[in-house]
Amino acid sequence: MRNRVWHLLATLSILALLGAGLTGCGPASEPTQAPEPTQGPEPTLTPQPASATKEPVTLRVGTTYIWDTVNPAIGWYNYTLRYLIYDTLVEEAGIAHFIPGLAESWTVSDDGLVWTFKIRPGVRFHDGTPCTAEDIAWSLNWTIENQIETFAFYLKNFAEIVALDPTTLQVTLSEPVGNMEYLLMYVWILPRSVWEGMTPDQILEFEDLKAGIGTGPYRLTDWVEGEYLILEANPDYWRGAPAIDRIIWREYATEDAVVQALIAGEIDVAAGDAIPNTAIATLQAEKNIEVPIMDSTSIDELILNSHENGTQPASLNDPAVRLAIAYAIDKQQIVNVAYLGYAEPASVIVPTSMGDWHNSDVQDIPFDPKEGARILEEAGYKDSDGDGIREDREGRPLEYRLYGNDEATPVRILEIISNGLAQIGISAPPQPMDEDSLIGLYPAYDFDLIYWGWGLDPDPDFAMLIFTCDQREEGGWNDSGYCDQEFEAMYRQQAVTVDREARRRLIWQMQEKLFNDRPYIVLTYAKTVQAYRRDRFTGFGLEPGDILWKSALLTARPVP
Amino acid sequence: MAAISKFVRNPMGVIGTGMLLVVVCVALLAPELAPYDPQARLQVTPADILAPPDAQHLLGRDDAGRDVLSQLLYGARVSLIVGFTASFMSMIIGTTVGLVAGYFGGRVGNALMRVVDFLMVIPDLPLMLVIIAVMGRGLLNIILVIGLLGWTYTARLVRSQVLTVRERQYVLRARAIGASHMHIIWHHIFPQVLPLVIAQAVLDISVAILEESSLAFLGLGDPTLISWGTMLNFAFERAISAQAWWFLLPPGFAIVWVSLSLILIGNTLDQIVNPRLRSHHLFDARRMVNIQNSG
Amino acid sequence: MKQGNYLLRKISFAAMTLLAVVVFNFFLFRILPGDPVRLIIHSPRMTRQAQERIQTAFGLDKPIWFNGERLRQGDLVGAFDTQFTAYLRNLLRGELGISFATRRDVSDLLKERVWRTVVLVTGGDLLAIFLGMALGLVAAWRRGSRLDMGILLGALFTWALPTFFLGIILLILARGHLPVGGMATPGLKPEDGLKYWLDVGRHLILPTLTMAIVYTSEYLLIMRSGVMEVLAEDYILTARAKGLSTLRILRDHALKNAMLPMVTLIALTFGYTVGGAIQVETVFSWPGLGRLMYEAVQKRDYPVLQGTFLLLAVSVILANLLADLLYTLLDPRVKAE
Repeated sequence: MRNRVWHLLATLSILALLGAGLTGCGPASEPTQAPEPTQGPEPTLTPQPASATKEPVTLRVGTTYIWDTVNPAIGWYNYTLRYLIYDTLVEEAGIAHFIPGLAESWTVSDDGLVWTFKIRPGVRFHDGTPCTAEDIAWSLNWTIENQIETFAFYLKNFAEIVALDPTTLQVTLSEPVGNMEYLLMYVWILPRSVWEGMTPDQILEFEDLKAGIGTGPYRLTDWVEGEYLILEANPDYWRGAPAIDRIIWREYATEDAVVQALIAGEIDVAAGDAIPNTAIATLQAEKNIEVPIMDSTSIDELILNSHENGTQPASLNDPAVRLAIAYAIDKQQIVNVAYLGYAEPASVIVPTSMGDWHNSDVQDIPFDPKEGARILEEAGYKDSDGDGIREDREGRPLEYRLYGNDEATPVRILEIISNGLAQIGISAPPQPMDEDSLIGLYPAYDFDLIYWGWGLDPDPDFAMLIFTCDQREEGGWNDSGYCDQEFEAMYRQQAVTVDREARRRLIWQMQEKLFNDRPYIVLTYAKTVQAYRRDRFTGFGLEPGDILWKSALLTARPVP
Repeated sequence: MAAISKFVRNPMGVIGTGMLLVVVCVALLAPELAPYDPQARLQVTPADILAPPDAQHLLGRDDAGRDVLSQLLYGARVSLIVGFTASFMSMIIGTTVGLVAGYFGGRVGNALMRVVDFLMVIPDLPLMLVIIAVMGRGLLNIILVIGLLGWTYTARLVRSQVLTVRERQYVLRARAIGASHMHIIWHHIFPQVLPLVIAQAVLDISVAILEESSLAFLGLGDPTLISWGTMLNFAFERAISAQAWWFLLPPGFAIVWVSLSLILIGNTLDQIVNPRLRSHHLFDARRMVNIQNSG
Repeated sequence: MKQGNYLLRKISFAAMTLLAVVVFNFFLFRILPGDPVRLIIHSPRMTRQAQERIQTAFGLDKPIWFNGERLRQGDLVGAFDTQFTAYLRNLLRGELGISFATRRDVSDLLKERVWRTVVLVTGGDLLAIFLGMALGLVAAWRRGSRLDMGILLGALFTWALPTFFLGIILLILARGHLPVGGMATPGLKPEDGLKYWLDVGRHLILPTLTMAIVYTSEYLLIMRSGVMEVLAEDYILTARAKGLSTLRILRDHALKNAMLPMVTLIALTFGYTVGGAIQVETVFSWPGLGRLMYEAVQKRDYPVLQGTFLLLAVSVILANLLADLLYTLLDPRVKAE
């Protein structure tokens, strides 16, 4: 008998060894070694208690996706995080509210072509190398030479960049611009010590943690993909060492897991896009949790294929049909169901949060399916066979392919859109699909209707850029395929208009044109909802619409 | 018949049948029973989203403001359809393969059984995930995937039974007088095989329903179709932190109810059909190993 | 020798199945419409260098499985210069491609995550075996009693429970007392020693419990039926008549004979637990192979899907082989064959 039991135990141990053997070794190996954090001097700016050793103040952030890569040259995700490790010449402290960054001040010549920046002295990168005007010039030139795809396009008018002395940077433009501060807010200043000498291919392949070296308030010390990321305070930061010593980003499988973790106290902050609107009421009911609701530049829209060579049916190009579709979309329902009220129905593409850039004269098309049906009827789209779906003059039924992301919330929105269209006699059953497949539709403009959204840049230039003809090339931003010569002319003009009021008028005109041509039907302007534990931290700035944004985070401190 | 009276006398069988009948009735009568039409267009306010149960909505409302109870009732349809269709497919394929392999034997038989062994060894859910990832999602694909992977037990079972029956006196006599293969299979072998197949099919239905719900939960179902699995998918993504237990729990328990009913029925059938083996033959490893050894 | 024959048959079967899995894995992703492999070249997240590396490594410019052109040129060996052979070569080298989503080597991803799933599956399985055996034994001994009925119904109930649903329920119940997900509190590393392992242990409790509860029923039912059959045998009656104590009978006879199917079942169930691990890891955010597979399906990350599937299938095949071998050692009846 004992033999049998031993045999059983032997089986199990063999199985376990088999499992261990499959790995080759034991626990997970870290991808790369972090640069050794140097022991800087004790932070002097914030008053410290007199104790000899202090527990580091740690802020734990929960999210469903940390980022795609440490490499800023190819990384598109989580600009909030990048803003904490890198600096830029100018920083954003609120929607379209800019403050000095590495540049203390700046002036421009009368012709608008020569900008002179006064650079802050004494700044160092996390690896100790200096960051003077010469180093900044090197970084900007490196960006342009290597056409760094994530932010070189902001510099497309920069003809010459040179450092006049260690604290003066001079930029000569090929054409004047009206939004210089905005152009600079995303151009990370990167260290020569890391990036010099790399070939373009090497730049794209660089995955070492050193890619995170910048001059920002935090140093990237650790990243385990899919699990966590750790930032340590930079004691030499030029604004002074931050009050929070350490930030840990933690990845969870679902949004609800993040919310649960926050309620349970496992994390201190739930990152911006990690809170489902259905959880807001629960969070607000918790007395230890603060739920700031802030303006954002996020919009979502229904994209109507506007490419002249796209695969959409001819009927979709008819302005009457587009207008009818606009009447058939119940934006308030979308706000209620998808956003639980934390959004507002949209009109033009520039959201209200962008202040006077938003064209408030344009009246949105209300939800009125009867009117939509009437428009179609008059335009000759009648339902001749009584199946509830209208046909065009050639007898082709109005059946459109309606695509969108396959997560829960977008699916709900697709249903609302589809139902609305059915009410005016258009058949567009929802066809949710995964993100990669959606992206795959664009190069050939092979779709009719797509539901998607944007997190727009704080300057209206970007919102307009996505409708320009050039951006229709592969890798460009133009997802609707829209290309109109009149619009192109207006875009070019606003790009070089320095006078703000003149530019504003142009932007308004462009919004009106887009509204009437309808490559997009903009659905909502969403709010950003975050949540944090007010029993642990306080003092977050709310203006940028993200409490983890650099300017918002630097004012935060632990609750004593 | 003796079998039916034995079944009726077994409390597990009776309870299981009762439970199953409830579900079937619900599925058939959903339009009459459901207080609301789950596909109807609604005008909802934010307060309606994930609203807790009240007099108008006995199980509250889901994340789109729709009545959970109605969805639960209609969801029975998809779950039952998937379960029955997929296992019917498995039954047909498995029986055919088992009959051919067992009756004709030889190289064809061996080759077929190798395929069976191969499919049995591969882990089910990963294989389904991989196939669906490539083929695309949707109800039809799920049914196909479950049906095409679930026939192996039946095949093994049928084959081993056929091997036994094949050597019986009346079969040998039939062959001696020149009866055709089809005749023998249909008149002598098949009737012996059928009870086992049915017992196994009932269990296969419960497995199919569980697998459909897992696949739907993992996001591979058709999100525009109401099934208990997709309800749980939406619930897991949007309802947990709102603590909307009325949306989370009912679909899961509905799945358990149906599975359990089928298991009870299947268990009972099995006891009747296989009186000598008082074990649950879905789980009888010794029997599986014996089958393996004789193969 | 008969036993040797049996062993040889089993080993060759395992080898054949392995080969079939490899071939299947290859063709599945190449033949179906949409040619997923071509997506590698066009995926916007791939750098040019990575694309070229994959192109050469996997021979994507060559024909799929037979190079007719080279044959026509008289090059017999070259007839096999195809994507398929490139794939096999890479497999032997451990080169499994690059993940679309993270641009990391698939083999690195697998190596990182394998042991986490092994820990989860082994822990859950062991607990399930223990509980199953204990409860099954008790149920069989007290056969027909209310205890037996209760245990039996409990087992059937948990068998009918979808794994992910049980996980969700436990998650809700344990909120606030146990971690809601992940493997460890971030920042803690293996170098922190005991503190780390204890933390991992805390995170392991709920997922392991979920897996254990789901699989207990299988072991329970087998144990119960096995013991029941043994207890009904004549020699048990004889033993009782001779006055041997209950415990002794159970220990010496019932347990011993019920053990055989248990051992095989453990290895055979391994395949199911792998499927269960996918659900459990998703619900609890446990960063193992199961969750990797779930995410890969979401993102259509085909190289990861292929690699993970291969690894899982191979493990199960080997586990089954092991079961067969052990069965040979343990079952006197097979030896006598």
